[in-house]
Amino acid sequence: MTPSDRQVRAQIYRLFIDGATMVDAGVTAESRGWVREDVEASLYRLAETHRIKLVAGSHRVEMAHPFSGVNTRYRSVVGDRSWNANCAWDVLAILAFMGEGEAFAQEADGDLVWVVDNGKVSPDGVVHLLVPARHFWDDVGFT
Amino acid sequence: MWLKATGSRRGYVASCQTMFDLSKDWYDGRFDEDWDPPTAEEAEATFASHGLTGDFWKLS
Repeated sequence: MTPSDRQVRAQIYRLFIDGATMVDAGVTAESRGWVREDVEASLYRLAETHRIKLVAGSHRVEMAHPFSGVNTRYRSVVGDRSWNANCAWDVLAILAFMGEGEAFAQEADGDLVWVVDNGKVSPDGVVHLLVPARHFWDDVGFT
Repeated sequence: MWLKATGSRRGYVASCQTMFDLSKDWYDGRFDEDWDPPTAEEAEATFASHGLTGDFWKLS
């Protein structure tokens, strides 16, 4: 990663942590006074090296794990703050860093809800990972 | 039932507690500018420290 790519990547995370629900080249560039075209180039490089995933055909961040830049079935809630997550793992991962709270997963027959309190997840259900670790990025959206 | 409904094969089933605990290590430092991805060996060691072993968790 170039120094500027590192800065862009870290800024993407700052934006998500601060509550942004949509992060793209324009938002990222504007937040730091950077040149948009430079940020676009960084985003492509970051996506090519699997640091982030972009929404196809755009400069919008779809995934900066564990955060999602698009609406998903997974949402982490800490007090009055909340974040979109990519999957059942990430919805818990966000709580591991942003503070204890609730993790929601929308299912056809209703929401699944986990509560994290004092480092304990309840109810302690299961996460089913379909894709082996070495293939996580083959199709990370499916993963 | 879920596998049948989605046409998916069974993968690896881990407890939510395990994945929450793993996250603290897996994403440690991830948001920092100087973060670099772990090597395959480092990643496997992190998985293994949470009991996640076997071919499913192999990267090398």
